[in-house]
This record gives sequence, structure tokens and C-alpha cells, in this order.
Amino acid sequence: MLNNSFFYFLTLQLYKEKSKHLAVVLLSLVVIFLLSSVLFISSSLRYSLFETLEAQPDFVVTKLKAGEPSTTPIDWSDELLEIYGVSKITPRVYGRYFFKSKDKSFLIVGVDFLEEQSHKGIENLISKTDIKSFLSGNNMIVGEGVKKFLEENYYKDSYQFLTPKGEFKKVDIISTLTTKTNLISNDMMIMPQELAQEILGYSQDEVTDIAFNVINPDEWQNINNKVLELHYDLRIISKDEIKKSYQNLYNYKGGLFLSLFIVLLLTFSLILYQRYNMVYSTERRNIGLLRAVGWSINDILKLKFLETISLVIISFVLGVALAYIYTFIFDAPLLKAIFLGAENLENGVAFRPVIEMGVLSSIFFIYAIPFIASVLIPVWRVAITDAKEAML
Amino acid sequence: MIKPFLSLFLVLFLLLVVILVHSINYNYTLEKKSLNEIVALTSTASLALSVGYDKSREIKGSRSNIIYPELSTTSPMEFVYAQ
Repeated sequence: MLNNSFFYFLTLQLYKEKSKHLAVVLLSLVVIFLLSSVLFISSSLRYSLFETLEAQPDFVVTKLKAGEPSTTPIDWSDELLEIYGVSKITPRVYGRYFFKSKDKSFLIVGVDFLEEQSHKGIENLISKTDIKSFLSGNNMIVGEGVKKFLEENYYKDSYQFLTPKGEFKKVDIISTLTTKTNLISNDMMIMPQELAQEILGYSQDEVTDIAFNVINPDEWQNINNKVLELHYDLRIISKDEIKKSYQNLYNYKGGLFLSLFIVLLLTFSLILYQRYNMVYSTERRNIGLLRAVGWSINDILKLKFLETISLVIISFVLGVALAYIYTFIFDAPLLKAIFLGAENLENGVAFRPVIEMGVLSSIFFIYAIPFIASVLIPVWRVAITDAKEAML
Repeated sequence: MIKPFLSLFLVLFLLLVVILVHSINYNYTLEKKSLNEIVALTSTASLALSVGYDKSREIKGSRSNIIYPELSTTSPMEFVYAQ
């Protein structure tokens, strides 16, 4: 039965009733497109962040005051250094700076450029900039979002910061970070640590927190306990906790869309079932005719199954392909705001293409099985009736 | 198979080819390198969330549970006082 003429008849039948199928295909396409886009964005962000784990510090220590993170004394880094197994201690200075007139904020990050590691890092990031001239004055490197925002507000080459002492501090923009780092650096202003301390109102012996590494991963728990014993008012965050938060990142948003998708799909299947159950006279007559010319119930079911699976495949491939183009080529305008927010600076992040086949195949089966069942069950009920009766 | 269907399947096939070519040609190494460099330089790896000034930009270190925000999480501080 599955010969050339059968396929010719199948495609002819589909083409003849294209207006009937168009609405079903369009509706499925929209649902699959939206769900796939959401899942593509969430997995892309998760994968990109996971790749940064390697470069992240193993632990971060912060001082708590009234249960909230407060400035950390830089002396704590000397105490940490005394613990055997601790390495690469980096005091970090960062904080948000509020641009009052436009209700926007930037993330100021202070870097100790005199450290060899930082020196190399900055050289790689801004190859065209002269490091010596950068370190010689009050200069900063800004993320793409900051650059765009400042330019729109007529701060083309420099910005005047208002320090907590009430003084203005002019800082020149020496370079802009590449778009590839927008995921992390879009709202960043990177400057020498002393300058960041001055703008954020820290004294010379205060930092935001202290990051450090532990060479032997088996010693993590041990070092964690030793650090906790140093002071009663400190909080320690390990890379494992960060890893866990990355794993759960956007799961709830993806899950929310998935549950909405399932509800939508059930409604959709119910409509389809109702539609085929009512059995239009033409549909009924067609099945009756096929039975009258000698088609068996099996052949009719085969025809309807292939007809439905063709619609399922067309809408699924189109939906997923359009979602891919929308997310990874056009960088998901509008939907991006659900994940990255839209209250502050606009983020022109480029999503890294990630396709999780397990998720896609689950979507396919969740979508295809109810769809096929809601068509085949009513068709089978008509096909088992007498051909004469069906044509009435 | 009739002609319009052949062209439809051809379009679908072309779309899949575009996806494949794009994902193969994407410079994954450059992106990974740039992100790792910025993380190594700043020791900060939180997403550049476009949130309001009064909201936390940091995902890590948040005491709230992302999946079940109502569920309180334990903090190491709760055990320090017990010692």
C-alpha cells in the first residue's frame, strides 16, 4: 500500500484540503516557536555561564553587618593567607553607581592592575589600547551597554562621577569591551582599584569581598570550616553553590513556559478531537468512499496517520527552525527581556547556539502523541461503520 | 509526491541546512575565551541583568531559593552561633 501512488494520493489530499490544515499548522507553529525560543535562551545562558566556572574563584568571603553584606577589611586577606592550602587571594572592589537623572545604574569594578595576572588579562581584552597610558591617569574601560548609554547622554570620551564626599571625579573612557563579553560586562566600568574605592566611598583598607582559590578540591570542606572559624560575622560562598545556582538558573522560567505549553496543548488536542468527532459530512463521505472502493480500515488509518504526522513534522521543523533563527541569529528581541530584564541598560547580548536534543525530542513527543490520537480516534470510529452508513 | 510538497520539503531541508551551517561556523572558542578573560580579570561572573538599582544584580549569594522563592534556605551563619 505504501507505494508511489499512495504517497501521490496522500499529498494530493493534503494539498486539496490545505485551507483546513493551515490553521492547525499555524497554531502549532506559534506554540512550538515560543516554547523552543524560551528553552533555547535558557540553555544558551546556562551553558555560557557554566563555561566561566573554570576562571571563577573557588571561594568568596564577605563581612556581614546586621545580616547584610558590608565592606570587608582588607586585613582579612592576610589571615586567609595563613591558612595552608589557600592561594590566589584577590580582594575585590565593586558596587553599583546610580545615574540619577535617567534612573539607570552601572557596575563599577576595581581591578588591581599591578598584579601580573590582571595585567595579562587586560592586555588580551583590549589589544589596541596602550596599557601604560591607561594606567597613567584616571581611565576606565566600559562595557558596550555603558558606552552606548553614555554616548546617548553626551558623555563621549569621559564621565564625571560624584563621589560620596560630594566631589566630582572625571574619568576618561579609554576603551570598550567586546560584544562577546556582554553577557557579563554590559553594565561594567572597569577601573583601577584605588579609583573605584574613591568613587564608591571605601577607605584604603576596605574592599567589597575577598576571593580565593584552594589548590586541592578535596580540601574545600576543610578550608571552608577553617575560614568560618576566623570571624563570626563572615559569609563564605563556594563555587559549588554558584554551580548549583547556575544549574537552577531559569529552570523556573522554562518550567513555567512548559506548563503553559502543556495546558495549551491539551486545549488544542481537545479542540482537534471535538472537530474530528463532529465529523464533517465531507470527511465522513470521503472515508465512506474509500471503504466502498475497497480500502480496508487499516489503509484508511494509515492514510490519516501519515496525513497527521506530515502536519506534525512540518509545523515542528518550521517552529524549531524559526525559533533558532530568532534566538541565535536575531538574538531574541523582546523575549530576551524576560530573562535579562529591561529596567536598566539595554543588553545587546549574542546568544551562543545550544540545542539540547533531549528537550527538543520531549517537546516533539508531548506535542505529537496527543495530536495524532485526537485525529485517529474519531477517524477510526467512522472507518469501522458501514460504508453506506458513513456516506449518508 | 506532488510538486508543491516537494518544494515545501526542500524549504524545510534548506532551513535545517542554514541551522547546521550557522551552528558549525559559530566561534565557540572565541566566546569562551573572551568570557573567561573578563571573569579572570574582574573575578565576577554574574549575569549583566538589566535590573533596577534597588534590586540585586548578583544571582550568587542570594539567600532566596530560585525555584521555590517561598522556601527559606539555610545559611552557614545559622550554625556559627550554635558553635
